Amino acid sequence: MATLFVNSVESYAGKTAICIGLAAMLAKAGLSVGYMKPIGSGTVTVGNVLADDDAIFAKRMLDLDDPTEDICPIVLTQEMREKALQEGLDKSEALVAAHQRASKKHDVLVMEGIGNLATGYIIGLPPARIAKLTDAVVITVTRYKRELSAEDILFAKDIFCERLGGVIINHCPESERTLKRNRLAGHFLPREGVRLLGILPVDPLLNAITVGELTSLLGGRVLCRPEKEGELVETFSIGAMTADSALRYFLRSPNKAVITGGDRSEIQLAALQTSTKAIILTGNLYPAAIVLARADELGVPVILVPWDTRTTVEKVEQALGRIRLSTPRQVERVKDLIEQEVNLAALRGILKV
Amino acid sequence: MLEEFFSPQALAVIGASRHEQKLGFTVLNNIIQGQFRGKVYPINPSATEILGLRCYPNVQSVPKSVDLVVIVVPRDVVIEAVRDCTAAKVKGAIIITAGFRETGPEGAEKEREVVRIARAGGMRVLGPNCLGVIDTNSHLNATFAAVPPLRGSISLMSQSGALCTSILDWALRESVGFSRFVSVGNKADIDEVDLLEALAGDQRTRVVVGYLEGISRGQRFMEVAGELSKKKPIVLMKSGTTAAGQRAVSSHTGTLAGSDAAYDAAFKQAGVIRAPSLESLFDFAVAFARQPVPTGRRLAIVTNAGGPGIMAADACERQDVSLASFTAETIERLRAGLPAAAGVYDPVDVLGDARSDRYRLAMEAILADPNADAVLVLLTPQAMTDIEETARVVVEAAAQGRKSIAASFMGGDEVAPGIKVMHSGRVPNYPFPERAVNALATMMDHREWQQTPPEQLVRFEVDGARVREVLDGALKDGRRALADEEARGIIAAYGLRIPRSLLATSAGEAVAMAEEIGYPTVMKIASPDILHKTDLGGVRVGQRTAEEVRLAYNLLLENANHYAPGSRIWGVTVQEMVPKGRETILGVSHDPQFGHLMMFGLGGIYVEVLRDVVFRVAPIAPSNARAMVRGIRSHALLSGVRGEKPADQDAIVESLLRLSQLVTDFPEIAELDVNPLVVFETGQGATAIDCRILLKPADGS
Repeated sequence: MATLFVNSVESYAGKTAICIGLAAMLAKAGLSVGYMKPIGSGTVTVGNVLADDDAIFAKRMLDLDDPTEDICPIVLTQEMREKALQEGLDKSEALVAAHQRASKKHDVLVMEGIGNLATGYIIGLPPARIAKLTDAVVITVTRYKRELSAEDILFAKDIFCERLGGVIINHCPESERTLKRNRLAGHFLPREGVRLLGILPVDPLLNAITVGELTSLLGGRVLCRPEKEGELVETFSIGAMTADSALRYFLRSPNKAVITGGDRSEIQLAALQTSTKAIILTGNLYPAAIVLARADELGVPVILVPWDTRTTVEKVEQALGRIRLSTPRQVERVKDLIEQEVNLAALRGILKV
Repeated sequence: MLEEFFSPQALAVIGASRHEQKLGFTVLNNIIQGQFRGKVYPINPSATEILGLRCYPNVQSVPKSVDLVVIVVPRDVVIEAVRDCTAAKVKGAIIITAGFRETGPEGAEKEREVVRIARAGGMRVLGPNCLGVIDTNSHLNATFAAVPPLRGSISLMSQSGALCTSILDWALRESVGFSRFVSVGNKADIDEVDLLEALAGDQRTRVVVGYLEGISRGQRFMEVAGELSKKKPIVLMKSGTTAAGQRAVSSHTGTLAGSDAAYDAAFKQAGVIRAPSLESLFDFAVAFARQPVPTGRRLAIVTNAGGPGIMAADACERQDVSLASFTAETIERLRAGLPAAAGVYDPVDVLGDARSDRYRLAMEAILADPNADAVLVLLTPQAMTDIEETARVVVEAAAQGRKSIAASFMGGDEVAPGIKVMHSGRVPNYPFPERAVNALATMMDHREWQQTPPEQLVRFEVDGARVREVLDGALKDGRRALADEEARGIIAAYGLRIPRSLLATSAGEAVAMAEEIGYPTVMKIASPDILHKTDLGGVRVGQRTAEEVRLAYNLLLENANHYAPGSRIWGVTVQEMVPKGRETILGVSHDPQFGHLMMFGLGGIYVEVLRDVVFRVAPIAPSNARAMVRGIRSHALLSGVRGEKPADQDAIVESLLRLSQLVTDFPEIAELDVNPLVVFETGQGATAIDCRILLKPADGS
């Protein structure tokens, strides 16, 4: 079995999405593909067991029947960290065992790294060691930062040496995806001998959060159009200005959620006149009936939240930097993008499958 | 238009009631008391007779055909009533019942259902949630208003039903009469544009007035009002002019008020007279209703006191009304007939002891004078003043119909009998001279509007295909903010002059391009994500050597990396440095009601601090563009002060017209700013240095 280890120098580079996409592409090519996140964070429970939500999501999206404890063999808990600090800890056995079980079932195992390249040391499993123990080919994902991305790629090369099979550049603006404009792809990567497997574009859909997630994140109450909870919000605007400037400002952001007070009818109407997926009313202030009627008519959910505007914005901002794939629509988009943009032949070449 | 609402042959009241405290009783009673000439059918399934009229269970069971119904049943049975009406082929329904859109989603859905049924059945709907309709000519009072108005030549529409009742009450005391009187309610079907046509189409109406909180179909409103105002004056008061007012309008009507500047511009362009207050709305309406429009701007003032005469003269100058220069003959007549101390030039002072004969002499002289277009008669109640007789003199003069006459009999109880005489003699009287002058000046403005022939829009030869290509590229890319060079490309395709510029993607290229363009140069970061370049250190000016170009290149990119990480960078624009001129700003923004709104002002503090800007709704005609350029307070700076040569104002006018054509041809442009347009001396043209264009989201409205 070939093992593909996908990781990134910085967190939130899009690893989960790319793992799902790569696994789906390889499976489509007729291979039996497994998925594993060797180290996960215990943010959800399955039965009575702590599990990693990315891993659970990937398992579901890839329709895998492997047991959860094989999909995510090591869940990094607080207890584990305490123990590690007191007496030292090496979890490599758990990893190797799970990897062996997977190797009997699949032709390829796609393995997702946790966080950034500094994660895993505490339990004796730094990324380079994981790669070595599983004899993996490494792909590093970098979120495009123009010339500055070169540093990330060189850092990954330094850590993984000859195991580094290639790089996927994620979140690259359309205008810079062509080789002519992209200096990383044009001269730098060939000279450094790092294979470019693909450049993925910025895709608003993948950076979106559903109205439902937003509602539960904010502990809000939906006043109209509850059936629109699956709609995707791409950006947020705060409505605290005059109606004229609100309109100009709102025009700039498509598929947005507008955060404003319940008493700001003119802001709510300005939001309804532009591309808006949800209106979030802060401070539990109920809107004017006639405005609510208008939102209902236009099919825009209105969400009442108990927080003041500042707190609401803080909560939303926190969530924004760490948007995860959450809808089948997004997963389909990821699969399409990977299929279009990632060189399958090159990938099979480096995996030797 | 909508005749069935004003002069129906047969009328049914659905929800007519025998109980005096019910609306269904009041409305039917008002119709009967008003001596409506057509047939009236009360509809109520549980009554056989109401107020002496035979009652029917529904409209379909009425033996004759009914063209108008008034619906006053509870909300939950309105839909059923509307179905009954369409089945009976009724043409119009006034829905007085409330509880629809204004109460939330459920009510809104019911309102939409009402409109769906009515439209499918070919029936128009006024309201719901309205006061109703009054037509004094057909003796129709289909409202629940307590007092019917006097007959008159003013027609009124109001977006506030409650305000209507106050106006009716006030109008009685002031002897102001109406021809048609409509409350628009929720505007589920019939809106202010329909009503404007219906009111202006009424032959007995001399002036249309309205109280509005918002206009739903802005462009259509401008078309209709622009045409009708050439025939009859339209005076509107639009509330919600401030931020607080706009918010109140929003929560009250559920519509976004839109910017006051847009309303102002739209009204100007459509010849609609905008009244700043309800007081002036009726000041103007009464003048138009009772007096002919003056044929010129020369006003003669007759007064028995110096102070009010001076106040009136001040008001004239403020309103651009000139005092009359009487002919020698008039002056001679006044001198011969009035005491030596009297003033015989305008204002004519007949002195404090004047009785009606002096007023008569002065009025006759002025009416005969070809140099005066209108007369304002001022009176203060002094010991010798015979108020009623003087009022009669004024009424007689007005009756000749030779010139428009207004009066200001200043005071309270003492002047009241005189005012009464003038009310019945159709002379508008105002408590203070300024209000009289404002009313007369408004009439003069209106005449000028009526005499201005309609103007054709001009079209320039442009390269629309080039613009299409750029816009498609950006939309395909999912970008709504166009990059600097794209925006400049677009305005250049529409004939604006732009500086020569090239896009460099490396330091070496930047130097080569600077050498090609020629020093000095201006360099800017090229990024679709950095809109306010100057704020982020994205502009460097005046490079004179290759070394300076390299330095600027590095600085620009370092700043971009630092202050705008994650933004897309296309490179650096190297641009020819344009010589100094007068900096102006041309802009286009998007208004929810009227669409593209053009803006003009002088650059820097004039726009940002002094807010010295003028707006017009696109498309604009040449006269609109010229009015914009002349309209700024700082216009003198363009004409040249302190020995400066005048700026090329024709170039500004042409740029405005070309931009107007651009946004009209490409409605997907949401916003556009040319800042600055550097204007050179007359004949030297203007160059657009920077341009910002924002597109509407593909899925937005």
